[in-house]
Amino acid sequence: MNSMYNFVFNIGAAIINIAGFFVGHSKFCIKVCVRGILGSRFSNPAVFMVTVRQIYFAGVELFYIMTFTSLILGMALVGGLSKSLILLGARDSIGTVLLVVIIRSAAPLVTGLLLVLRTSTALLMEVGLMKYNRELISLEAMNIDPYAYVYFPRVLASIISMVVLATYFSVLSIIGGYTLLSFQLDTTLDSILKQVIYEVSLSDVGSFLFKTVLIGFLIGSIPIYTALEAKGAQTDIIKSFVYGMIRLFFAFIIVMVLGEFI
Amino acid sequence: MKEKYLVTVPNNLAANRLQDKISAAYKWSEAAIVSYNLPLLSALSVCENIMLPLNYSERMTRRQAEPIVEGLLHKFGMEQALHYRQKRLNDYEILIVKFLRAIMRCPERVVFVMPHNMIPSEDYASFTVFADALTDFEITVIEHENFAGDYLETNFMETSQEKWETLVLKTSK
Repeated sequence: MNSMYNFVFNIGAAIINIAGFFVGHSKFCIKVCVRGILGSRFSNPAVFMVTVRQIYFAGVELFYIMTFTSLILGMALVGGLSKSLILLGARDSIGTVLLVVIIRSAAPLVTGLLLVLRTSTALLMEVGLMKYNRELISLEAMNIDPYAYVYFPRVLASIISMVVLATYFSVLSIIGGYTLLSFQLDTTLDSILKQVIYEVSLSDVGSFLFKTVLIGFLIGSIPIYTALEAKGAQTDIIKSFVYGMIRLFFAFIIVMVLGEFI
Repeated sequence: MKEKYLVTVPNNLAANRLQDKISAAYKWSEAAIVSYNLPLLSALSVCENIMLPLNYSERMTRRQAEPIVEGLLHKFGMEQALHYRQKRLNDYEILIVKFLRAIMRCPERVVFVMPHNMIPSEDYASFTVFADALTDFEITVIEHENFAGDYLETNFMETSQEKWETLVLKTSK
């Protein structure tokens, strides 16, 4: 009886936690968007400088890793898939398969994972330490809104980096795949690109944008929100790091699944 | 010369309460605070920390604000620290940078909260000389009562907390 009570209690507590996170995170996102966009803070030199710096950190510094990953994964995915399809006599389906595998799934997934590993972890620690060191209170004392100066540029930079890097990944992985194919089969880059472009529909573009924009937004907002939930102790930053990554993982899966319905 | 007040408090808690009251009563552009619990931003350089209020509130670009910051740092012989991060500065230099950040928007009042928490005791005499020499702002030092003796030969007028609140806080708009 007691174990049954504990079981129901734990499920209830988990549901309340998830609902609390959902409500708290939604409120946080609304505040970030309202104070960042409607407050026309983007034209503010201080906010602009932080945004550019964050784009450099989240996007530009990942450029070399992304190039390498795209070419290698492109060779494995595009090369392998195209070769199999040609051998099976389904040469005409290359465009459709590449579109589904690369643009709809692999690009948001791989780019998102790289950004989570590099940007989200850094954001969580950075904002957590800013809170712990009272730097956020310092900003508020100077009448500087942390939503506009700290959170909004970081979320915006995550979205921009995600969309640009995912597009870059799509293009490079197709080129990487073609490089492998060109050694083994008589096919041209032109023919592969034509097939891909011919097969692109509004739904594919919508799904790509839905996934990249939303994942980019979550990669920026969930770590910041989780870091802000941490209390005053140093160990709370580590706890929030763990929670943040788990939340991000589930959010990632949900967005990937929802994107398939578009 | 503008007024100089010394408000002595028994502990950090009382000082923090006063600091909160100042923040609630005044904007940063009216009364700026140099406090041990309002740190510099560790991700920014000295120059960026000082120019932040100008960049954000006055919408001044880096190109416009940097010469102003450089000139102010030069006055304190710290021009070489322009692009340093705060970890390369000593405690007294950090206090100076906090002070410069505070005066960037030309406030009427500058309030130092518990300066002994920001600087080592051997530099405390330098601080009292520095604070005593400031003439452009109304200066208030909120300090632990044990340090009241360090202000005996200065222009600071020791004031009770209640009197200071009546004089300064209740005149806020």
